[in-house]
Amino acid sequence: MLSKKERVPPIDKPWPDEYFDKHIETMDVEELKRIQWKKLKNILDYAYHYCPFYHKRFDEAGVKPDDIKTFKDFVRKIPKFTKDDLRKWTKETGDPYSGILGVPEKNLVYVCASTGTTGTPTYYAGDKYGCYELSEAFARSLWAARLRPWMKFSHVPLAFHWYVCIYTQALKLMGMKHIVGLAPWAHPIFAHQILDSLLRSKPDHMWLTPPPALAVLKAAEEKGIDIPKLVPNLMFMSTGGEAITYGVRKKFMEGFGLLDFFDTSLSGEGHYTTIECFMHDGCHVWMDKWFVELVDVETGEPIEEPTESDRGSIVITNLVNRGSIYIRCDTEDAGWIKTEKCACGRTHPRVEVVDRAIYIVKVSGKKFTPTDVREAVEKIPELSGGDFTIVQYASEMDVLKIKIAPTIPPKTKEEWDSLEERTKQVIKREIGVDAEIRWVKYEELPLIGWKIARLVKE
Amino acid sequence: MESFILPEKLASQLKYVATYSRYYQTLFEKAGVKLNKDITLDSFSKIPLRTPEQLREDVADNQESLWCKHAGGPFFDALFLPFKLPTLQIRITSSDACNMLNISRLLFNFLGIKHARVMADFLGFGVRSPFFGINEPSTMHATLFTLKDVFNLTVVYNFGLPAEPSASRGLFILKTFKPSWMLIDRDLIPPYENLLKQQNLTLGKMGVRQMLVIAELGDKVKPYTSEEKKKFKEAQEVSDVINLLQAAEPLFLAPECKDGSFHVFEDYYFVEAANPETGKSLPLGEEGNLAVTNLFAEGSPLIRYLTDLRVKLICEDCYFGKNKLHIKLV
Repeated sequence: MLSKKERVPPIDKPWPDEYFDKHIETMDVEELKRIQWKKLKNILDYAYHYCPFYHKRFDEAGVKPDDIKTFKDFVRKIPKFTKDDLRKWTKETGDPYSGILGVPEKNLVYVCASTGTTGTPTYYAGDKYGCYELSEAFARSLWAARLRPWMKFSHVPLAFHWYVCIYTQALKLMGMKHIVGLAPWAHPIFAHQILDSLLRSKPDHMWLTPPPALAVLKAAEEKGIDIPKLVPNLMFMSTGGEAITYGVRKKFMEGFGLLDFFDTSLSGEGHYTTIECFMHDGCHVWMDKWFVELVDVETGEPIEEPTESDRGSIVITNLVNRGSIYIRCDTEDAGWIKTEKCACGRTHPRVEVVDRAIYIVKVSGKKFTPTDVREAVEKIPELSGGDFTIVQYASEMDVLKIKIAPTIPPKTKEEWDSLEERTKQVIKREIGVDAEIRWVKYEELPLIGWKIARLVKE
Repeated sequence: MESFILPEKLASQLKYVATYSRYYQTLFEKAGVKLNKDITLDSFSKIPLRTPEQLREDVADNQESLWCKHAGGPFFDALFLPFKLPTLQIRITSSDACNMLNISRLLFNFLGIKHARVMADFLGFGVRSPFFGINEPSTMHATLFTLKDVFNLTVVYNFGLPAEPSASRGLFILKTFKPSWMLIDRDLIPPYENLLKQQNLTLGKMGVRQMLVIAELGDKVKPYTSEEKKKFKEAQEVSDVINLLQAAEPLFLAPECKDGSFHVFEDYYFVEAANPETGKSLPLGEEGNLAVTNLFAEGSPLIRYLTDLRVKLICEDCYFGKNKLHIKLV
């Protein structure tokens, strides 16, 4: 049998069939901007006249679609909104679609409720045209993650989620022949089933969210199963739904014996998806489908022409979906944007989500996110799973209160004491704050859907 | 019964599995079943009945033996009955999915779910995938686009997990989305009942009028009896509760008719009331365990899949026509 590296071209160079749609993926940026502008003007006008939510907000801001002559006008004059604004609209009007439905309900192809990570779920809807356009975007992304039709592809879907509807259609568009469903739900409770199925089906490429993927590695370790040895053809993996730290990436690469690993950002708000290419320098977001910008987390002001060092909240305008229309939707994800051409040849900008912007905590005057804490604690071998929850007891805290579930629990009291001491030292060194640690079991950590709630208020 | 010649579709399915499925080749050989020109019910009865547990045990080490590998086109290997190990990996081909789509159409038409908002709370998987187009890529397009246009349904899914947060989210969906239909696994109902009781609410008060309650036979979930249904309807103030028998592994679906019996889609399934001890297929009206043979599955056809549901088969008139086969629960 050929080794993994012999089965595919070198992974650090563009492949001969690198692009799903070379014309659009490598198009000149100015040309892309012209397409983007045309679509943006179109959807702006449509939303103002069709959606009560936008009509009201634009009127309140004293702006009409015709006032928008440039991209600068757009980011300065059009008001942005968050999920809370949608929830408020639903509460006031009783409209589950929050006033952003762009087509009659009978023309919708799917309606999905969000997981509810940041509170009560909101609804997303897709129409036929949007469904086709977004599935094409997904197909480009999966192709960039080096999925090819000849591969055996396995995934564990979140059956209720909007992306599954699009994703499955994208797989069809790509001409995938063999797809394996490893489990019915991407949840850590299915770890043993996923592992069992993974060993049996031996896929080439896998899509799995981080919590169940980590749980699968843990289950394999407990059973003494060497996944790279037993699934020798598993080459690539892509994931989404949670920010990935360096430690987690390394763990996936080694644990599953991968040639490469691709991170994705997925958000229901804005109906957007991005994917890393083999350069791993941010995730590509397709300019002809979305307009992406960065705003200051505190002031909400747009950061025009952002540089690599600028951090802000990612704001999305979906240019193609007419089911739920998203114009300047603040995803509340903190991250950065790069606009220069990527070494992979793609001209579309790259974004990187660091964490949820609303998860930023203040301790002794220092601002940081749960991902920063995760980067720190994962350096301790016993905490390499990064399973913890920060307890926020005040808007500005003196000490970081944190519940941690050790990946490898110590056996003696001395070992527990030593672990606590080391953890406190690492947090002090990496983040610069004092920590108060409460050791818990994994099951005791609060979950939102399938994710660990990284921040709970007390 | 001696001279009974099996329906053409069943005979052809038996020949198909005997040719392409290694598992059934071995099973038939061991049981001394010979598939000659005229297969009678007697010779069919020689094929051993397989319970879900036996089936999973049989192929635990070599699940591929169950698959008919020559089946072409895009396919999907789905893992079934996830809460149990060993699991069973079933292969669904495009042709299987198209057949499931047809069954979905019949079912939707029969149930009269049209122009409605629907909330679905089940693991959108396996046999239910083509139902709404989740997971299975080859039918996704067809289901979403065809069924959407035909039945004009707007469907919202919940997690489909038997846990409290799942029901809380489901309750939120009911409050805001106000569906008139609710499609739910029977084992997911208790958390809803608890939450509704705490809030002094009922499903009827939330706007739900009709419920399709799915009983998964592979998981030994039983459908509501008429008394349970009556109690549930009164307690939750809903106008109708319809049972749907389902066995994920043999891709089996049977909706409840008005009189409480279950309609069999005879073009797609061969059902028997079987004696689990002797393995004999019992005549109409006699009590036995429900055994299902799928007549359309190309990827992983299952023959004589035995459930623990006690039933008798009857022939009567119903919505689908005269003298149709029905499953009556005992």
